[in-house]
This record gives sequence, structure tokens and C-alpha cells, in this order.
Amino acid sequence: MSLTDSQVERYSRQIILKDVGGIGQEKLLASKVLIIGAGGLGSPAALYLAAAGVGTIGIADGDNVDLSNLQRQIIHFTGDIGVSKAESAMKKMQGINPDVKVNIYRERICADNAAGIIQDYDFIIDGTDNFPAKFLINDACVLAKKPFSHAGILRFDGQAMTYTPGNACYRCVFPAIPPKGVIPTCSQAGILGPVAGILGTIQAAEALKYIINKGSLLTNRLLIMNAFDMEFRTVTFKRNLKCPVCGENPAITELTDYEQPACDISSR
Amino acid sequence: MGFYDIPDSLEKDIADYEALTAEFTDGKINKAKMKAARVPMGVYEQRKDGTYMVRARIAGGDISPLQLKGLVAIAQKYTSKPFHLTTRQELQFHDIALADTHKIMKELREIGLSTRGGGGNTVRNITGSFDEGIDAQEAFSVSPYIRALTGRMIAEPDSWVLPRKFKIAFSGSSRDTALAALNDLGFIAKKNEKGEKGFMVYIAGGMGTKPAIGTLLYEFAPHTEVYNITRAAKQLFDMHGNRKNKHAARLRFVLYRLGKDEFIKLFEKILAEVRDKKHPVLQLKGLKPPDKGYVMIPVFLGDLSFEIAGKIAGIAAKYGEETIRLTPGQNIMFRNLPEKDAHIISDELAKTGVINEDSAIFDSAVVCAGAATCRLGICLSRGLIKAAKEKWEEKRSMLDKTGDVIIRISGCPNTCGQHMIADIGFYGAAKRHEGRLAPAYYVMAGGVLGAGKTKFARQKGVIFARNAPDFLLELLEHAQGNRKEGESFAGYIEREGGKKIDQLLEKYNAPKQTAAVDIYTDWHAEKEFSLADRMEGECSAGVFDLIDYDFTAAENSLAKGDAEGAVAAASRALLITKGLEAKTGEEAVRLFNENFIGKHMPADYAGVAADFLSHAAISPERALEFLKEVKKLYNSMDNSLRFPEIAAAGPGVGAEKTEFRDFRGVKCPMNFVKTKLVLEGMKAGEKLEILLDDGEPIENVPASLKNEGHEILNMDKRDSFWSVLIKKGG
Repeated sequence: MSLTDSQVERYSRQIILKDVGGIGQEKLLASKVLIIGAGGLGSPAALYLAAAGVGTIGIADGDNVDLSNLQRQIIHFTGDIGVSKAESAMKKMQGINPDVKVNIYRERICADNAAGIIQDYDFIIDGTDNFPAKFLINDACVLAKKPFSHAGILRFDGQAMTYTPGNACYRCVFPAIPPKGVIPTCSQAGILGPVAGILGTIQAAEALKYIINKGSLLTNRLLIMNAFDMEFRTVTFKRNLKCPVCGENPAITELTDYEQPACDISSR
Repeated sequence: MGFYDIPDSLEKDIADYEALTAEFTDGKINKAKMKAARVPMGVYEQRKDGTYMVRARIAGGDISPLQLKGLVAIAQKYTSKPFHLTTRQELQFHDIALADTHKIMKELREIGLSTRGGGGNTVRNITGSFDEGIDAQEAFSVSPYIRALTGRMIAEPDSWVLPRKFKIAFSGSSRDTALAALNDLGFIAKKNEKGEKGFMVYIAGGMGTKPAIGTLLYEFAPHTEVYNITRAAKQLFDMHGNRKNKHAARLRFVLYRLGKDEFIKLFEKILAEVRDKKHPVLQLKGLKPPDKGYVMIPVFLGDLSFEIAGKIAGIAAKYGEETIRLTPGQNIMFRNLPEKDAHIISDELAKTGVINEDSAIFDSAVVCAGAATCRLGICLSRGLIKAAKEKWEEKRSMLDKTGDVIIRISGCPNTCGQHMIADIGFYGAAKRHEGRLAPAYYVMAGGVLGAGKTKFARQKGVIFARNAPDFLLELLEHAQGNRKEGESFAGYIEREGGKKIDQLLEKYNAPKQTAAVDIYTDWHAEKEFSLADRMEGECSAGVFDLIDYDFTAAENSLAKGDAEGAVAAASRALLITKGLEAKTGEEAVRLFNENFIGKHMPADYAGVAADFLSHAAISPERALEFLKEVKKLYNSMDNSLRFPEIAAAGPGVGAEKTEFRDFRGVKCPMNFVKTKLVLEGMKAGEKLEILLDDGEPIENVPASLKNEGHEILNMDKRDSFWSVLIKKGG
């Protein structure tokens, strides 16, 4: 036990929680969480994890802050335009909580670097905005036996699930990357800022619960929400024994960079 | 206009304090709560109920002539008592009405002074050497550090809620005239081989109970580390200090408990954390090197009249801002003067009677306030030095070879009068003589100062207060005649003065009660000596000496086969904790029976008391058991001299260890958070006692603990707070 008085005070409102306490807080301070993508999902996740006292936070993003990001990527400010997103996020996290050590990766996650980056972390948050990255992260985490939180958002809709080794992975539900154009991207279809906030915050809560080992995670469940009618529901599913990555005879045993297949709508 | 920065928060602190005094006057809050608020604001109640002392914090003792003028103007509005200068270079107002205390605070704030941290468990006034700036051996000027660190410390909220007081000092050279090695944290300026500025750092020193010379933390720490080191020491103290027993609370007790290596390891760990936070270094305001001319103005007993203060302020104003320093010797140094002017000013001050060369040894003696005004005092320390000066005035024996000797007197074992480092020192105690209490002093001699050389004075023996002035004069006369040229006083004591003291103690230690010398009445006392009126849950180590004395007497009686005598002495021992005093053995047993047996001690022992009072025989075995039980009770006493009640204890309690934490003054929900953290470190079924404030804390914390599955065994209201006994849930 080595919480300082100022730490006790800073974290008092979560230490009070029966399921956290000083022991939980110590676990948080000793934990390491990687956030991939410092965008709409990564922003709230990073802020909450830093505030909660997650001891080491990695943040990976290869982009720079753009004016069009600011409507939902709340960790970045107008003055940050043109700055690396990872750096901008680091500055804000350290501003909230000097207890936190921040590692930054100013690169896009890909087959070559994924395993190396995730290996140092206890939990990974997928805050990316494209399918190739999401599938890559899933595969990398499954192969490395790392738990992670998935979330996806579009327009007024969002979804989230959590993978831990032994339970269903993202590919168990979505075996392959959908062809290009079938599902539009946010830049094509738009996104309501708070939807990103809600889902990113759910991911932060999952990470904290995983670290303190309390509560029920979104494992083997997909949370689906719609902000337009404001409805939440969960769909349960099982691990797919034929899953190409976590199944009994996996086809995927090493990482490759995925290309989203071109959509063949014209032929239909 | 001050030399240190006043934080913005002070205004609100004063307003809060003012509101509390109003509530107290209206009877809405009790004395204990008022005391808890006023002491950290530098306000103490004097021995006479309803009169108060206000202590202004003066960093390094430096004030400007304009401030001194302002202090006089403020004081004249509220009191006729002179100022008192302290050994921590503060200035005190005496005989103040409570309703005026906040007014003084506001007016002080306007002249750049604060009273916050004048007392209580806080970072106290930061002190410096009297000769800072003129000491030829000085590495560099430390005033800028004292001022900047003061500004930083008094702006930090955690400076006010420490386990006990926290004292910091800076010396400019290895002569260590600021006693850095005897503070909780001490800095001694030095330069390294490269000529860079830095400090030797001492930690966990202090006088008082179980005194210690500071442990050398760093031979050389860069001067940019002053803040970090202070911050780390404060944090270490805050986290590891003993909040239960204020007599074992100062930083040095943490060192005793952990051992030196472990303590330093812990310090380094905290320091590393502090460094990681990248606090800004102290913003030093450069001072130009002072002119070397100075005049030392001895202030007898540290009592400074408004007239003389005004005069000094007037003259000093002509020589600039940086000209007045209150010294740790409770004198005033008129400094930073052109060297050619110094002796002219000195002559002028001598002519007006402000300085008197002949009686300098008495005038510059360091003497605490004593029992006249201090509630902790046992003896009238000021009466003793006055009596000694009066005796000297009758004889006017030559004492010019003792001009450098510093006499230091404390009225009790607390070391406000710094007797631990005296050339010749005294500290007040009580001594039993023919069953009655008489004022007495322990005699100390041969203290040495200096970095790496600091040595405490040795305790030579005890003397009745009434005989102390004759003893002192005879010793000084002997020193005058026998001290060798250039010999330090400690050297003289070592060589032959020590033996002389032994002889003199023997000579003066056969008290005869005569009409002329009433050994039961202290010097300049109005009535016969008694400790009965000084107990109010407050206490100084002198009480423990008395209790130990009675226990020893009981053991001696038993050894002689006097069982009755043992029961009487054992009964007498703890009476003092309740402000009771017995003149005879019978009275002692009766009072003990009424106030302790059945209440704090099992009723079974009433039989011993009854047999004693009816003169029935008591076997030595029963007397021994009785004595053992009283001692056990003494060991269970808390720091407010209270004993556990038998009824509250319940079956089985006492055999196992109960953890204890004092969360008074800790607000919701931090009190719950801290309790929870303590419980997490305990095993199911173990017990924890906590103290909580009345009101919101007691309404919320026990309920929250129950919610977490712990059991509340007992809630016990004491004065303004509660004791809650918790059993950890599974």
C-alpha cells in the first residue's frame, strides 16, 4: 500500500466504491492500457482512464489533428490543429493527472507493428474507424491472448463488445471484412459526437472493470445502441468454434494487413 | 509590503476564524472546537482564562521599520502588555481579548504578516541565524531562501494538518547559529568544490521529549533542491507521523521507529516522487549584500516595550528597509548599517538605557514564557532570571569573563527556552518534599553548537527553584575566576565547571523551610506552588516525570516491605491527570478510589482502598498487584490524559490489539476513505478505533462502514468528537 495522501484524495470518489477501494486503486495505478486511435472513441476513453489513475496509457495514432475532428474528438482543441493526435492526447492526459505515464505511438497500427505495440499492455481499446484496423486488432489480440474492447459507431448508432481469451472474439460475430462501400464510413455518412462519447466511455468502463476484476464485461454479448430513439439492447452470442482466428482450426495464424475488398454492387 | 508573500487564502481563513469566534461567544460551539481552530491561527489561551496571546510569523525574524511601526500601532489598540519576542523569531501580542484576535489578524495582513502556523500542528515560522549576512564564514545569504520557502509553505493547505509541529531553520555557515541540526529540517549553506551553492541538510532533529541531533541527510544538496527536500520531508511526516500520541509525534519519532536506514530510504523514495512532479524551484528575490555594521539590542526576557520598539523603528527607518531582525536569542539586531555609524548608534542606545553592558548575561538569557502565562508551564522561568538579576544587582560582582555565556531557561521539559543547548540551562519540574510539591529545576550544562559538532547539554541534577539564583551566581563567579583565556564555556564545564556544579548542587540541595525562603512558592509567584490548576487535558512531559516519580516511590516502599506506602504512592500517581492533588496518603487513596476504581480500574480493587482507609493489613502481594494494575492503567492513557472506561471496553477487549486512527478534522468523505484504506490492510475480525468529528462525520461514516460489511461495536461521544470502534467484516 503506497497511496499518497494526495492520491487518496484524488481518487477518493472511486476508492469509496465497495468494489474498488484502495486495493482496486493500486491495481489501476499498476495497470497498462493501450488505446488505438485518438479519435471519437479514443478521446473520452483516454480522458477517463487518465482521470481514473490508470498508471500507464499507450496512445497510438498516425494522424494529425484536423479541424473536422473537433466536433467529436474532444481530447483535441482548436490550438492543436496540425499537431500529432497522439501528442495532443498525451498533453491533455498529463494535464488531468500527473500520476499517469503516457507512451505515444505516432503511427498507424499495421501488421508489422501491432504485436510489438500491444505486447506491453494489459488491455487494449480499439478506437479505430475502419474495418481493416478493427480486424487486425482483433486478430493481434486473439493471437497474443490480450483482452480488448471493440466499439464501432456510425450516424446515431453504436456497438461494443469485449473480448477476453477463451470467449468470443470479433470475428466470431463478424467473420470477414465487409466489402468496400457496403458500410459507409463516418466521413461519408456522418456521426453524432455524443455517440462517439457514449461508446468510448463504455470502453473506458470495460477497461477499468477488467483491471479491478469486478462486474460483468461485455463478453459474449454485443451492446447495440441507437441514440436517435435512445435505445440500448444486448445480443448474446457464442464463441464460434469455426472462427478463422480463435476457432479450433484457425486459418489465421499470423498478422497481415487487410485490404477492404472492393464492393461489387454493380454486378448485383 | 512584507518580506514573504501572503497567500490569497489567508483572507478567507481569517473570515472563517472570525465566524467561529462569534459562534463560540454565542455558545454554539465548545471550547475544544474553538481551540482546534484558533491554535493553528497562532492564538493561544493564556493561563488566565479568557486572555489570549497572538503570535505573528516573521520569516527569519526580518521586519521592516514600517512593519515594526505598524505592529506598535496595532498593539496599542488592543493591549497594554509589551510585545514578546520568541526563540523562533516571532513576535507575540499578549493579553488580547478573543473578540479582538481576528482584528489583529486583519491588520497584520495589511502590513504583510500572517499569524497562520503560529501554533498547532503546522509548519512553523522558518528561522535563520542572527548573524546571517555578516558572519565572515557564511557561504552565502540564506534570507532569500527563508522568505521564498515561507511564501510557498504557507500557501500549501497540507502545511496546517500535520501530525505535530514542523520546524525548519537555515544557517549561513557551519557555526550553525540557527540550530539547523536541532530542527525537524535544517539547511546549512555551503559551496562545493566548484563553487556552486548548496546546503548541508539535517533532518529529524529537535529538543523536547527524547531529543535528537538531526541526522545528516545530505553533505551537499544543490540549492535548487530546497523546495523538493522540504516538500518530501513534509509529506513523509504527514504520512508516517504518529497522530495518536502527541508526545511521540515529531518527525524524529518516525526516525526512531523506522531506524535511520529505513527512514532515509523512505525519504529518498518520496523525494523521487516529488521530483517527478516537477515543482518550480523557489523564486528567490535577490538581496544586495548588507552593510556589516550592526548593533545588538538585548531585550530582557524578550519583552519589548512599545516605546523602545517605536524608537528602534524610527531610527531604523533612516537606514533602509532591511535593518531590523528579531533574533533567536529573543533580542533585536539592528543591522545592515554603515560600519562607521554602528558605534555611534550603539552609544546613543546605551545613553537612553536601551542597552546595558553590565547585565548583558541576564538580559540576553533565553527564557520561555513560563507558567505565568503558559498553560503547560510548571515553573515561573521568568521569575527565576529576574531573581538572579536582582541578586546580582545587590552584589554587582564582575562577570565580564562570562559575557558570551548564554543562560537558557524553560519552565517545563518542553524546550521553548532551549535549555538543551545551554551553556547553563534550567528546566522546570516539580519535586516532592515531605509529601508536598515544590517548584524545582533540572540543571543542564555544557551544550555545544556547530555543524557536525552539536552536543546537548548534560543534565547535572535537580535544585529547588528557590535555591537556583544563588546556585547560578556562585557558578558564574567561579567561571569568572577559573575559566582560561579563550576557553569555550563547554570546555570549562568539561575541565572543572562540571565538578563545581556537582558541589554546588549538593550545597544547595538541603532545603530548609524558613520564614525567608518558602520553598513551596516559586519566584515572583502570587501563591503557593500547585499543579492542580494547570491541567486541562493539556500536558507537558513534566507530568510524566511526576507520575514516574510516584511509581518509583511505590516500588521503593515495596522493597522496604511497606505495602501501605506502596498503595498510597500508586494511588497518588495518576491523580494529577485529573487535576487532583492529595496532601496525605489517605487523601490520595480516597481520591483514587472515588475517581478511578470502578470507572477505569476493575471494582475488585476497591477492597484494597477500603482496607487501606480502615487501616487493615495489606499484604505485599496485594500491594504489588495493585501497583501493577495502576501501571497498566497508565499505559492505556491517551494523549489527552484520558483513560478507557471499563464499561465501554466490553468482554475480551484489551487482550488483542486495536488499531487506532485520529480522523478528527478530516472532512467527509475523506474520513471514510481513509478509514476504508486502514481496514483494507487489516484481517477480518480485527478491530479499529477511529475518532470522528461530531455532525456530518458521525452521521455518515459508521453507516457507510456498515454498508461495506463491517461491524460497529461501539460509538462513544467525548466532548466534541466521537470514538468509533469497528470490527472488520469478512
